[in-house]
This record gives sequence, structure tokens and C-alpha cells, in this order.
Amino acid sequence: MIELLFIPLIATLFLAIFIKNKKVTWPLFLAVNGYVLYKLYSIYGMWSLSNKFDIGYEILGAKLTLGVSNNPIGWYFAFFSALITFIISIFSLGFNQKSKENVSVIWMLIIFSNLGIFFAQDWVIFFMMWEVMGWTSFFAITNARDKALDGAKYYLALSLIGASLMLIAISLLGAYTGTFAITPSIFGLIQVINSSNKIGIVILLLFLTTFLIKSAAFPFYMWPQKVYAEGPEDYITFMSSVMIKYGIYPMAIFIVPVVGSIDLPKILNTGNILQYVIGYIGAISAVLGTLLAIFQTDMKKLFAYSSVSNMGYILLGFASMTIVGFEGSLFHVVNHMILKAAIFLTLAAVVFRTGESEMHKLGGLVYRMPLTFMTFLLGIIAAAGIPPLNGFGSKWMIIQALMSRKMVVFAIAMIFASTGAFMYLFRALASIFLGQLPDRYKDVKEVPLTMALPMLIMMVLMLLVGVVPGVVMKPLTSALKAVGYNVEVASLTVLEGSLKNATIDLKIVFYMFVAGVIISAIMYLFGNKSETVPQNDNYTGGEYPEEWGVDADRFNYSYAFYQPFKEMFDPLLEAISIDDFFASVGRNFEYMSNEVQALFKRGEGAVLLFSIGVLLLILGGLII
Amino acid sequence: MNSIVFLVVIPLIAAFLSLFLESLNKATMYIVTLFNLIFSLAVLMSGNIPFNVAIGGYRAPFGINFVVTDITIYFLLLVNIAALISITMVKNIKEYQFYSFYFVLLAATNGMVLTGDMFNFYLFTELSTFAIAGLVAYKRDRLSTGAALKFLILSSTASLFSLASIGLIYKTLGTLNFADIAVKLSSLNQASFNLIVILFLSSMLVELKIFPFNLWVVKSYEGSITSVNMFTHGMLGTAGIYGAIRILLIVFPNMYKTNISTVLIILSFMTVLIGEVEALKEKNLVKVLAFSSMAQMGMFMFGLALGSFESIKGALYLVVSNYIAKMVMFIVTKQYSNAVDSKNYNDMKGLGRKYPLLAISFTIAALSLMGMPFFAGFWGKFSIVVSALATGKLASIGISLILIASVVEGVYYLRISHTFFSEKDVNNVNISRVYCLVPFVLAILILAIGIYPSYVEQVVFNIIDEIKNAPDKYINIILSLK
Repeated sequence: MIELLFIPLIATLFLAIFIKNKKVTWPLFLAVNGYVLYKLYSIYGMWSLSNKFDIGYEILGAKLTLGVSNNPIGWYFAFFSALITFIISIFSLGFNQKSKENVSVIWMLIIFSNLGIFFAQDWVIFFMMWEVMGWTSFFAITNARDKALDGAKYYLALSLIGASLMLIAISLLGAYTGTFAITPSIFGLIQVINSSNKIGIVILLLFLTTFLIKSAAFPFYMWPQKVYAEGPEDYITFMSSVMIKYGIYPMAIFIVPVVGSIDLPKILNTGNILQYVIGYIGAISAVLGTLLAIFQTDMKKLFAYSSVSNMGYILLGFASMTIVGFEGSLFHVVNHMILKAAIFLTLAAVVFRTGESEMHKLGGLVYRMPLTFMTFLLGIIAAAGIPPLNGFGSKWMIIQALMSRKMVVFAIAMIFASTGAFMYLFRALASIFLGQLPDRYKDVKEVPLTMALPMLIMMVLMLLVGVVPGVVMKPLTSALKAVGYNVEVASLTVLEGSLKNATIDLKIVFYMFVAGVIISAIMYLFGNKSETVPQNDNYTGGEYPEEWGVDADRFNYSYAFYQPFKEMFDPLLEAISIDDFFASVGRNFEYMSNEVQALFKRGEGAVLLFSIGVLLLILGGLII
Repeated sequence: MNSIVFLVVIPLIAAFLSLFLESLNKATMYIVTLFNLIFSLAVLMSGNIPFNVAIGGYRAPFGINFVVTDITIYFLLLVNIAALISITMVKNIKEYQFYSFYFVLLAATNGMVLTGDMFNFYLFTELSTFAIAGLVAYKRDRLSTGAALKFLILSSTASLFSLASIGLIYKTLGTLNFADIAVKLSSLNQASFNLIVILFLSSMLVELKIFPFNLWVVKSYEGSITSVNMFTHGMLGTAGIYGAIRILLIVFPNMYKTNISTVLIILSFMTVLIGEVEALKEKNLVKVLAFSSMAQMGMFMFGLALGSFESIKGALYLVVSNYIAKMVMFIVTKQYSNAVDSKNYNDMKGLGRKYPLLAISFTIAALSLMGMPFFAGFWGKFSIVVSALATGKLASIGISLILIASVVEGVYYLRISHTFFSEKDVNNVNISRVYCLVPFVLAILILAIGIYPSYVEQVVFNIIDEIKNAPDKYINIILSLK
């Protein structure tokens, strides 16, 4: 168990030593990720593995022992994270040949903290690993480039605030429940809350806020777009697919069990207040993420907001507090990991070849980068939740769970967000890969093999999980069973629903699609011959350009794609701009900084302030 | 163990000798500092701690005495190690004044830690103040002279208060011995006690850099050379911390029953807030360190003012973390700013790529100051947070503000670290690799304490134990006949 944590640490040291030599670092990085994946695979089922460290530090009158242990849900998260990380690190091998900076050292440290978070046995070690993730991400995002500093600072400030809240929450939890261990503290906290102690709710909300910050839910939805737009693309792939789930994991193991079993006033006999709080946060994240994604012009920002809305779906699944919703959320975690990694890998490939991430400056790359296009296409189909690819099953389960609990508003929000997703996904497809190829990208080539291979794997994975959801659902349901939830271990292709007659066999769905493909192939083969049209064979306003004395030109409708739609929603978005609020907090701190500094610059005030201090002491000591 | 007096006497003799030694001064400086360090190590190893030395054979309440207990010996070591590390930064200084002042400072700080007498403590504090003022003014430009004057004015005002307080103690209790005061204080009426504590605190808070007594800090850091910065931080600062622990916790523990501790809590979290917020916009790296050291002292004072043993433990961890981390940062700042001939950190771009050991050490130190886990500062922060939340409303508000301030601290420190690593051509810069080693070793020490705090925990436990059992462990030693 312990070697799982130590190998990445030692690898970090080696990577740091060889940082100048790319031929060494990235293969080493890949090898260590492979090792982690293998090791995780081998410890499946051994839930009693654990290690304890006595560091000789005392707190609250007791010796603090830090423990890591193998636990089912942690394993589920860790394994799929490691799988995706491994695939991304194959991609990095090729991707980083050109880059000047080397992010592998810090990235390895993040992988270490990643494993620590998933296998933490008590809140202290959880917190320690959580903090490591915060500051390492700062360095990984900036990657020593100045233009990324603003986004990284924003992220750092948010994650430090989150960590501070969590430190307070952990301290209170330790003081009120008398334990720092995660599982006993769940029962402890439930007892504290049920004995109508308000501090319990405070603790819960502090934890919830921290996890919401990390999972970029409303009102902390701004950091992904700031960070993803500037960070190194391969690391951003990791961040958007894997790291954003770190907030979900503690919610699954801590928030959900607690909220599910406390006595709070119920709303409409369906769920308690906190359930609705989580639900509304999820619903707002889903809708707002979708709306904002629709209006982006930078493709990385677009998919950053798409991540926000996907986090919203997961929260909605949690909010339903049914076992189907819970399973659906955890299933969606993996689905989103796979499809977001696939999409971001293609984006990284596009940036790698063109150096451009503004969508309206791209276009027509489909003939130049066919494999990238295929991966992207499958990725967005999965993201839109269309069978037979993998996004469908989990969304289906979450919506069912919401409907079975009669949380209609949430279900509507989710359906709205999913439908809106079509708009931005299609817009990305149309602007990047379809349309007309600008002259400057005429010589763009398909990516090299090391980068093509992970994309192929991703395509296979998306299809595999889409058709045979059992590859994910089986470990998931066994994990939930091992933790103590009352679930059946899922079969390979059948998804259980919570409504009547809602059980579907994805095999049949797949056959239907295959049949559809065969029919359309027949139509393609025996129908009219297709005609290849030159790129400037178009007409303007129903007129031929030549008749007006102008040359034929290429048109590509990709800027301000959804302008009318944007005008419709602008008032709403202006009203809830959280970004302004956070920015103004930062600005105010800087103004304050100047003002207070002036105090220290002048000399005359010294003795005056000294006397003020003495007066304060006298006031406090003698008079009061 | 009468020879413990050598720790004060030999530097004082060296201070006089330095007038005549000229080129031998530097060697003498190393010899005397090493002597002090080795002597204090020998005392630690000798195993007959705690003991009490009556100067001139007059026994405790009547004569002046030096006391060596657990707290004393650890702080003595800290002061002398700081002295040794700081003087490695002394280069090309010929003037005897500098060495003379240094020896006086060494004697005074050692004396502050050793003495068991209120008036003696005051004398040594004054001595160290004058020495530091002289050392700050050593650069002899407008800024450093102004800084030295500012420090002198403030600390003389403070010493007036201190003297008044000592006079009051002598008038009311008829004794100046720490232990004797502690015994007799219970018979004192509340108002006189409060007055004494207020007067004494106002003088001590100047050295502890607590707002609004800390207006000297920034200028004197900015105006002096690096080794003097390290003297101020490592020697004077540590001795001041010792004074705070000894006098607040052992001589005036009744303070925690009055409102003064509440005022202290407010002042200390204000110090943190103001220090961190100021540092946010600052570009001069030395000034950033000055602001940050104010904030760290505020954090320490917060732990001390809470008064529970848990929080005092946290405060002690913070002392260790801040002590090492600031040392690292001053050395790194000196090397980098000498290399690019500017103290603005934006000019230091790219240096972290050529000399990564220094930049990594700086980053480790910064992370420790931010209270990040796996670094020494975390254990202090954790203890203080836990005990502050258990204390009450005001302390909870205070700790929340401190945590917000530490977010600001994180942002500016990591921005500086990032600047070190960002890209710029620095081929014409040259730093000797030997100087990279000292900060790196110190940084590894921070990491070691952060990962495995057991050894520090042992020391901290001894210190807390002495505070808990102050009457048995401290007072009886002194007042027992010798």
C-alpha cells in the first residue's frame, strides 16, 4: 500500500534531477504512471490494506497517527484516474517534444497527492494531500510562463480559501466528534447534527464549500475557464478530466452519507433542505455552465464551462439521494473523465499543430487531421449523451433518479443543460473541424503516433463503456456493496433504472445503431454519387459575387455564432456575474495594501501609533 | 556551572578588543561565535539542566542570577546558531565599529536569554537595541540612518515604559527577581498588576513587531545589509520571543485572567492582517520579508495570547518554522539581489532556472510560512487553529481573519517563486554554488520537521512542561539556596 505513495515521490525526485532532459523525464513519467495503474489493479478487493504512521505529534490531547488505507470508493476513483492519467502520459510523450518547460516534476507530485486523497484514512492526511494539490497546481498551471500567472493566482487564492475552510471544519469536527478518522467522523457528525447542534451544520457547510470550490460548481465556476485557457495543454487535459473530480470524491464518501441520514425539515416530502441546497447548486451549475459555454470563442474555455455543467449533473445525482442517482453520479464521474480527456486531447492536438485556440480562427481541419476529428466527434457525441457512446447511461440514471424523487425542477434543469450542450458541442465541431480551411493551415499534418495512439484508445474506451457499461458499473457496484450500500452487482450491459420498466439493455441499443449505420452505408453506396464542391463555391445573399464585381471568397460562419441567443441571455448573465465580485475583492485588497503601506512610509506616526497602542492596552486592561 | 557567565563576558571582552584587532576582527568574530555555540551545546549535553548561577555569590532574590532551564537552553542555541549563520553573510567589512556592535549584540542577546532578573533583562534589551541601531546605520546612507533613528526613538520610548514598570514592581513588591516576582504577584492588587503588565507589554511589543508598535520594522530591514537583517531576525527577534514566553507565561501568568490578553489577541490578528495585506503590492523583496515577518510574529503572539497549552505549542512550532524559513529567505534574497543588483523581485526572473537550489529553498521556506502541510509551519498553524476554535468567539473570528490573511500571503509568496522560475536570459549572472548549500540544508530541515516532527515535539513538550509546572520547575530552582 505504502509503495503506491512512495514510488511517485521518489519519481518526483528523479524527474527533478533530470528536468533538463526530456528524453528521460517523459518516459519515466509514463513508466511510473504505468506502475501506479498496475499496482492499483493488483490491490482491487484487498480492502483491509492499510498503513499507519506515528509522527509523534499530539493534538487535542491524543497522539496523531496518519493512516492510508485501501477503500472501495477511493479505489474506484483512483483506478480510473490512474487509467486516464496513464493514457494522457502517452500523449505527453509526443506532445512535449516541442515545449520548452517541463511540467512533469510538479505533475508527478500532484499524482502523489491524488493517490493520498483517495486513500486517506483520516481528515488530517486528507487535508495534507489536499493542500499539496493546491500549491502544486499553481506551479503546474503557470509552468513558469508569465501569461498564465493571472489564472493561476485566481485558482491558488480559491484553493487556499477552500483549504482554510476545510482546516476550520476539520478542527471543529475533531473537537466535536473526538475523532479525525473519516468513517467514524461520519457517524459522529450525524449524531452532532441530530442532537440539534447548529455547529454540525456549520461543519457540513464548510466542508461542502471546500469541495464545491474544487469541483468548480456554482458560485466558484470561474476558475476552470481562467486556468484551462492558459495552462499547458496536456496537463490541462489531466486537470479537466481527473483533478476536477477531487471535489466529488469526498462528497461521495462524506457529504452524501451525512446529508442522507440527518433529520432536517423536509421540503414537499421529497428531500431535506440540504439536499435541495446541493440540488440547486447543481442545477444552477449545469444551466449556467451550458449557457456560458455556448457563448465562448476560445475552445478551451468552452469545454471548461462544459466541465462546470457536467459537475452540475453529478451534484444533481447526489441531490436525489437515491441509490440509482448516486450510482449514476459516480458512473458519470468516470464517463466524464473519459470523454473530457478525449476532447481535451484533441484540443491539445489542434493547438500542437496550429498553435491556435480561438475557434473562429480555425476551421476545416477535418481533412488535415482526420483521426483527431473522429476522436473529437465521438467525444462530443458522448458529451451530448447520445447512445451508444458513454455519456448516455449515467445521465439517464441521474434523470430517472430525479424523476423518481419528483424533483421535477432539477430534472428540467438537467434536460435543458443537456439540450444546450448540443449547441456548444456542435459549434465547436463546426468551427474547428468543419467549415473552410484557412490558407495558413494548409500544411497542417495529423499528429504523430504517440499522440494518435492515446486518442485511439480513448475512442475505444468511449465506445466500450457506452456499449458495455458493466466494465465501470461492476467495480462501482461491488465497491458500493463493500462499503455497505444495499445494491446488486450490475450486469455487463444492462442498466437498472429506478422508474417502472426503465431497465435498458445497451446491447440492443448498440445493435439498433449498427443497423442504422448499415442502412445509411447502403444508402450511401447505392444512392446518387456525391459531388465535391470547391471551397469558394458559395453565394452571398442569393447573388453570384461575380455579377457584383467582387471575387468569390470563402465564408466561414464561426464568429459570434449564437449572437441572438446571447442577446437573449445577456441580462441574466450580467446579473449573476460572480467574476466581478471576486475580482473586486482582489482589487480591494490591493488598494488596501497601498493605503496601509503609506502608514509605514512616514516617520512621524511611529511614536503616535505607539501611544495609540499603549492607550488600547490601557483601555483593555484597566477600564473595561 | 558558574562558567555560563562566559557566554556574556567573552563577547563583551571581544567588543573592546575589536577596537585594536583590525584585520583579525573577522577571525575573532568566528571564534567567539563558535565558542558561544559550542559552549551552549556543551551545557545542553552536560545533563545538569536546570541550574541556577548566583553572580558574585549573592543568592537569588538579592543578587543577580543566571538561570538555565529547558526553555533557556533551546533559545540560547537558537540565538547562537542564528549568529553563526548570519556572520557567514558578512563580507568585506573592515570597520571595527561593525564588529564591536556585533559582539555587544551577541553578549546582550545571550544575556537576555540567560538572566533571571527583571532589571538585568531590561539592561540587556537596551544594549541589544543600541547595537542593532548601530548596525542598521552601518550603511551610512540616508535611508539606513533614518531607519536607525526611527528604531532608536521607538525603542527608547519603549524602554521608558519598561523602566517605569520595573520601578513600579520594585516599589510594590520590593524585588526584581523573576521567580520572586512570580511568587509575590498574587498579593498585588488588580489595578497595580494591570498597570505593570500594560507598561511592560508596551515596551516588549516593540521588539515583537506587533502592530501598532512595529513601525520601525520595514525601514530598518530595508535600510540595513543582509547580515544585519539576519541579526535582527535571528538574534534580537528570538531573544524577544524568549522574553515574551518567560515573562508573560511564567512571571505574569495572571495576565490571562484580565482583559489584556483579549487586547493582545486583537492586536495580534490585526498585525497579521496588516502585515500580509501590505506585502501584497510590495515589489521590494526585502520589504516583503519585513512585512511577512511582522505577520509571522503576529501569528506567534496570537498563539501566545490564547494561552492554552495547545496554542502555545503551535506558537513554538511557528517560531521554529519562521526562524529557519526567514533565514533561508534572507540568504536567497541576498544572493539573488547581489546577482542582478536590484531588490525588486521582478528583476530576478530566470535566476531560479540557473540556480534552482536557491529558488527551491525559497519556495520551501515560503510554503512553510504559509502553513502548508509537509512543512514545519503546518503543525503550528494546525495547533493554533484547533485551540482558537475551542477558545471562544473572538479567537474564532481572529483565526478566520488570520486564515484569510494567509491566503494573501500564499498569493504573494508563490508569485515571487513563480517569478524566479520564469524565463529570462541570465547568462552573465554568477553566484557561487557554495552559497546555495546553506539555504538548501536549512530548507531540508524545514521539510524534515514537517514530515516527522517527533524531535521538535520532544523539545516543545519539555518547554510546555516547564511552563505548566512553573512553580516547581522554575521558581523553586532559583529560590532554593545555593
